[in-house]
Amino acid sequence: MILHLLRLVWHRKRQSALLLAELFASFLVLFGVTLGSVVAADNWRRPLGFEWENAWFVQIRPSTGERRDEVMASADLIALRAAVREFPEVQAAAFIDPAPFQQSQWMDAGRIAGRRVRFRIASADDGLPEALGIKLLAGRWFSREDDGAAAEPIVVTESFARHVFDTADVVGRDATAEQEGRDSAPPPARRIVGVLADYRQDGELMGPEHYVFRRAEPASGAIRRLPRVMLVRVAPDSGVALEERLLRRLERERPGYTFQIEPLSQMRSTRNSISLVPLATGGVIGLFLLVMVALGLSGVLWQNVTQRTREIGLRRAHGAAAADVFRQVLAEVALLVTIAVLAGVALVVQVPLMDIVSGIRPEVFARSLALSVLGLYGLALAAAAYPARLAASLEPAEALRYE
Amino acid sequence: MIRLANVEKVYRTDRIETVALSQIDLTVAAGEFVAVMGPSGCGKSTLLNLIGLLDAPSSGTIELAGKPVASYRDREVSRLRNQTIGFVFQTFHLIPDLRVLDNVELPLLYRKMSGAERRARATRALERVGLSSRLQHFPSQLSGGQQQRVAIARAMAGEPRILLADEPTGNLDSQMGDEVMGLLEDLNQKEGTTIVMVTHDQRQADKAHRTIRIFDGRQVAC
Ligand SMILES: Nc1ncnc2c1ncn2[C@@H]1O[C@H](COP(=O)(O)OP(=O)(O)OP(=O)(O)O)[C@@H](O)[C@H]1O
Ligand SMILES: [Mg+2]
Repeated sequence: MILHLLRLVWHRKRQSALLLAELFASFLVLFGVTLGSVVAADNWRRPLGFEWENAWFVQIRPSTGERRDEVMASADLIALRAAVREFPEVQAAAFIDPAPFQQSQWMDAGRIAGRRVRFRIASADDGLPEALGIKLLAGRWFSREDDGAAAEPIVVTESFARHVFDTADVVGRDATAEQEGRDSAPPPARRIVGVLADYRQDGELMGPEHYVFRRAEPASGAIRRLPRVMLVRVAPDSGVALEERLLRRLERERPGYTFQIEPLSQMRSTRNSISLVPLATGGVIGLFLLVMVALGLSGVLWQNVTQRTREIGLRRAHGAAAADVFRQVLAEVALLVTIAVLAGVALVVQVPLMDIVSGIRPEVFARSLALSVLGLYGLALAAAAYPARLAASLEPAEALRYE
Repeated sequence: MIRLANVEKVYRTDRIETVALSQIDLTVAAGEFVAVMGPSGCGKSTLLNLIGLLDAPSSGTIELAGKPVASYRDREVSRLRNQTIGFVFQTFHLIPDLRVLDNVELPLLYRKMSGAERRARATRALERVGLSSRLQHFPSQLSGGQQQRVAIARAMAGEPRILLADEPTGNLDSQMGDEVMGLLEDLNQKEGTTIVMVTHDQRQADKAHRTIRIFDGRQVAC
């Protein structure tokens, strides 16, 4: 029977080619849309690596408007942090730059241990884990131990460790980047002191990226660039009243600065709604494409099966049961889908999407591929099943007369 | 073998009702060779469709092998069509996208049988109708008479006990027509196949055991 079906498909080259082209195109669209959705869902589900609830974002700016590095002093930051920590409602306070959900980002890249790596980087003081609820997988966070260390201490995410060293067991390893050209300045020496599971500065919609923290502790003295954001972890249910009191206290402590306080939860909503715009646009376009594909495929398959009503009648007249015909038509469609899917998968696997579009993990890619293959089978079989059943339920004489 | 009792067939379209057959009582014994004659449009094909279980009567009963057909389920009706009945259509109904050999194999496809045996049986049937040199042709590459013979070969390939032929010699010249008739007589005599054949040709009808005449949907005594 399979041979018989193959022969039919082969001799109906033109119709089969049309169907195959439609199925192939549908598969590509289906795969694209599925990949986008699976990537978004995967991003949304992965843990952030920090806790934004009950954390406040405090922006610190010199009121003179001059460049802050020239007017800001480590001593000011130390005093401000101490002042905030005096409040009983404040559980922790720490400096970070850039802060979670902030629009700014720092990128770094280099060849480390023979591997090229691009990663996001932020500076933070010794108290960040308490202020942000960060937990380490291995090693430790920055501390006084690092004062005067020859190599700059860094804490890296697990993905960074695996990318560079093929293992998460990297505490104590040298992570100094190689010098690129002879004329460029030698990169600073760096040593890994701790590993985080993950840290996603941009929030739930951020794709997987490597992340590295460097130490910026005002109290250590050796600080290249002063952070301008303090994160304050407050007791649950703290409200505007505390915000007001904090603001007044900060202004009294250092009148030369202006301060701005915003709950991290609010920054998160803002950030997510900004990231959601392209996502929602993509979703609407994707949905539209899916509907188009479903309609197109149903139309083509419907027409294909309806055209064969007479053939179906003939088969019935020669002894095929309704169920046989029904199964045969679906088997033929499944055969075509298989050919289209094989071609589609071959093409999709050739294109190194994972290299072009960063942030697609191999599991996500594989899952999307599997989902779109299943989806195409489902869609095609559903589109063919109804007309096939209709044709099979006719009396053979009636089906044979069908125009 | 075949019994029709008070059978009526009415075609209903949007506005008109066509009574194609009415008050048909007919018995065909096993091994009989019956010719059906009558003017165009009198209901001959309709009768054959009913006997071949391709269509259901509007009223009356049809019995095949002693059991009313209406009581069969789809599986059983399909098995009867497949194994007991061979049908030669007035308009051939060959599948244009399949080669001659594959067309003839079609009824065998719905039987438990090895591919090699199917091939062998279909080839033998085509040899009997004198088309062994056209196995790999497509229907569109054959003349009308050759297509007719492919349709006969297809009906014969399953070695049915009942052969229903709707004007099997209609598209053939008289010599070829005689050959096909010889083939049918052969099947009837040597293999005991029950044959019901529609024809316009009195000469061919004379070769049958008996002739049923239909006029305007009714049986005419003769
Ligand atoms: N599907 C149908 N719907 C409506 N009327 C039909 C249908 N099929 C046949 N008829 C009518 O039934 C009558 C008998 O048709 P049938 O095909 O049985 O004639 P026939 O005797 O085989 O004629 P011919 O010798 O031309 O083949 C005709 O009047 C025809 O118009
Ligand atoms: Mg007719």
